[in-house]
Amino acid sequence: MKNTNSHSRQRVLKRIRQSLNKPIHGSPSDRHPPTPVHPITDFSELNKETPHHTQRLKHFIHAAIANQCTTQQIGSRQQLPEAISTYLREKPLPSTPSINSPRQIWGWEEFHPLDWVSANIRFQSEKIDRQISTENTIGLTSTTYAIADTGTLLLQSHPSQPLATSLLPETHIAVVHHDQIHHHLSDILSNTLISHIDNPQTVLISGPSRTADIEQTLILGAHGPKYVHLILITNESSPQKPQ
Amino acid sequence: MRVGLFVSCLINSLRPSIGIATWRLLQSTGVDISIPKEQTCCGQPAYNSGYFDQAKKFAERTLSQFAHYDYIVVPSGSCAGMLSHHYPQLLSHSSTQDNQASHSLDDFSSKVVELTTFLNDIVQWHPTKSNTFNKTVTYHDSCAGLRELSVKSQPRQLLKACGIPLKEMHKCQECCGFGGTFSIKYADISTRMADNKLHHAIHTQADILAMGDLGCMLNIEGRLTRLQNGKKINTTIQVMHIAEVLAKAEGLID
Amino acid sequence: MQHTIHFHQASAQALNDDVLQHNLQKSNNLFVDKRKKAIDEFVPFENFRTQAAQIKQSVLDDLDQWLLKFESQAIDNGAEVLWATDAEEACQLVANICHQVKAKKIIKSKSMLSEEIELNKHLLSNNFTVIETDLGEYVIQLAGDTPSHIVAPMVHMNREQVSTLFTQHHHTPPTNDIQQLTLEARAQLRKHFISADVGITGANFLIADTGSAVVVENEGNARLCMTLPTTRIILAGIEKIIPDTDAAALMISLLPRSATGQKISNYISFSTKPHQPTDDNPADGPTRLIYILIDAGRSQLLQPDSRDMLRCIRCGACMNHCPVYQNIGGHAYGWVYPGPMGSVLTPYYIGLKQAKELPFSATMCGACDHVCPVKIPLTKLLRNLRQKVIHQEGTNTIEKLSLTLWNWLCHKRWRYQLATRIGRLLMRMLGDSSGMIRTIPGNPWTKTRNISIGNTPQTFMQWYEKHQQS
Repeated sequence: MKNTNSHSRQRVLKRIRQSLNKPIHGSPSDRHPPTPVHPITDFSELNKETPHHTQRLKHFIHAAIANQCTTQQIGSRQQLPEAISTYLREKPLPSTPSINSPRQIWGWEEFHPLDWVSANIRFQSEKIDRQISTENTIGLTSTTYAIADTGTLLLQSHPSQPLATSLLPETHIAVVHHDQIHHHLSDILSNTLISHIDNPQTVLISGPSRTADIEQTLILGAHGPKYVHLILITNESSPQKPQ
Repeated sequence: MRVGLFVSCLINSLRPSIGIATWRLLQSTGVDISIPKEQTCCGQPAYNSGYFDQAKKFAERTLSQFAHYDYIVVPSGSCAGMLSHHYPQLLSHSSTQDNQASHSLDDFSSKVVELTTFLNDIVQWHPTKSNTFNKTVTYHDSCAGLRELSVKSQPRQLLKACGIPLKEMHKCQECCGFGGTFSIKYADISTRMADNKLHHAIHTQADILAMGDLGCMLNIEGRLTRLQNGKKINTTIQVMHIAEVLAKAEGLID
Repeated sequence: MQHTIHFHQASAQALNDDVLQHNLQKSNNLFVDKRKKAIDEFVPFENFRTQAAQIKQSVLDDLDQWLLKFESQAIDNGAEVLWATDAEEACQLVANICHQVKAKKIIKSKSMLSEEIELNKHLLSNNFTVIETDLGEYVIQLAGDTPSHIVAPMVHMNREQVSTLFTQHHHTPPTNDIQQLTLEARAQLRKHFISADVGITGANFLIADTGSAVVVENEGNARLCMTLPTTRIILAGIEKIIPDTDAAALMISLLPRSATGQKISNYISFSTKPHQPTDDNPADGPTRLIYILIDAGRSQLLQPDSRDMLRCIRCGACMNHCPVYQNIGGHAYGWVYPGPMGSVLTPYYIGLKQAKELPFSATMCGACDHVCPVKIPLTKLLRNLRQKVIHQEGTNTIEKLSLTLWNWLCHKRWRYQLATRIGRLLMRMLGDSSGMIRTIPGNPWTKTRNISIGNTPQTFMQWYEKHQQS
């Protein structure tokens, strides 16, 4: 198949060059070609509507709520288990446990050291079991960045930070530190993909999954999470990301 | 200010009254108007059907007929668009073009002005008599005028200046379905689009449905009268060209 | 794939399809209104549109270099890059990979390119199970139908039709509750997501600088396709390349707004390398990542006269704003792409002969040009195609004769004057006393509309000449 494909590769390149009126045979630099010239993107027009950085948290929350997220604010990470316990009290119980059973959440390793027992939460940091029913499952992640303009989270895949935790469960809880919030997507995009080149996948999440395929009627909870809950940490900076 | 009037083949043969209204309006502005006698058709039918070589002939003729004016006024958005936007595209690929010819082409093109733009923006036309034309109007924005020439506020400002109440219809910017030969090639789609337009216009309860392109008028009015013949529609709305509306308001025509 | 498109017939049928008309009317305004709100609120829109057009065009002008750059980066990242000259080859490459990894079940996210190449048909004939996971595409698949819109594939269907299909295939009770139907699809498809061996997605953009694929969606099904199976195939047209992540940010600000009126789509995924296999747990994504860069007519479209069309980012704004599309829906256009962009692409991709009716399926109103986020001159491209059709496929003899005659008549004043006078006389004969004509035998106009000659007894020029003399 390799031979067939280099043949196809050459054919496609040849046809392209013919249409571009360029010489049809490539050069030795084909394997590591130089970057052709292209116009530089200019985002300065966006600055006209960028609020002051002190407003970012407020704007982020506003945009996230517009995306049908729910939000909570706490001072430090230590308060996380209690905050989550409060949030979960309002959610319907899973079908089997009794009212006093601990709620179960799957979460990233970084949250393991927190005091989950006092909050009556059974915290698991193993990979989420794909076979279990998605109903009533809860996944907890942190974020790399957040975008105030659109209420968006940016998450990056890492062995200790699987994206599946933000995708498979019915509820996704995401922890966002105030210093992770930037205003526009263009403020963070170059940074994230280029400097964390080890990362196989990055995702931007802007609320619960949704579809309007049937009669253009918006329904939340298509294939991804039905609920996205954001817990904002206002007094602590974000910890270092794993390399 | 020397103004040449390009009256358009449709107005010339099917609705001379619109030509008369246009001419009287222009006369009332006091500018020096002439109507080159050799003028015929702008060439849209050939151009939009894909016969570019034929369209070039129309362009060459029109250019030579209207060579020496300060403005070339056109009571048709689509013809004005053809002259100002599409003639340069047609003729710039011609191998006989040189710098001078290209310059005179740009010059010509910049002088072409749709009627309401000329009246409102260039000569700031205002009525001199009080309006005895007691009708309400809803306005259909013909596609070429709107999108090629930015004709939008001008007819509305002129109506306002005449004291004629305007009732905007839903989707006033949506195509009426004429599209030149489209109205024949895809007559059923064209008719459906005209029905949609009439529906929105009638809903405003305005007395008059006005517009700036005879192509649109023929399609819309043609459908309206057919529906009226078959008693499939109950309305007294009348379809008029904006030139006729303004000329009537100013008492320039009956 | 070489079927002839009968737009005339299909559009006439569509106009008389009451269910379709009802469904279309419901959906039309939503897309237009939502987009308008999003664009009105987005101050940099015009500036960004201009930039996006320039960036895309500059990539196309050096497409070979950009593709090589992307390929080089992707390979350095550990992905595999294959090239397909045409649809058949693309399908074979996909099937070969699936055979190689001993796949039984394949899940797909929405990819119009996969519709172009008729991938599902090929995979089914190779005895693979293929499941469409986008809700609209899933419904379409159950119905044995084809998508009628590039963003909202089942816009031509209603909830009752979905319920019937679900009852038939899932053996569940019927319901008219859209939320119920969506939850049902979620549960059914989750089983397939978990048990699939290969995930196939498209790519909205390919970033050359980083060797990444960008996938834009709202449902999460594409994310599941790129997370759960161990092998992922990314199908991408060769025109999908953009230079860098800055360009990606620019495109992302334009695409959701233009398509659905959203500031941003719910999920935007950037995939850059395969995941490392782990001993006990499944990896967080595929351990094998394979790109298939597909030509299938794009290198031909790249020629100067049509190159603009390759800037298309598949937002669907042109068809949403096309008054012809709004009245007939997407199926009438006969192939994968409907509306204005379809009327340009289809003749180029499946052949001018097969699709010669499509370039004429427009009134040239220009609404599409006005809303295109990458400023593709669609009406100009359609007009150029009309010229191509005339030259290559010939034309209706009556039309050619009429236009040639008209040109001849307009060449001399006396001919034009005589012709218009004769024409008016004929019209008077055909019409009633008020000048109204109800029938011109053989003329489609008069089937549904009158035409009238107005009440002045002479042409305008005749009147003017008389008036000048007096």
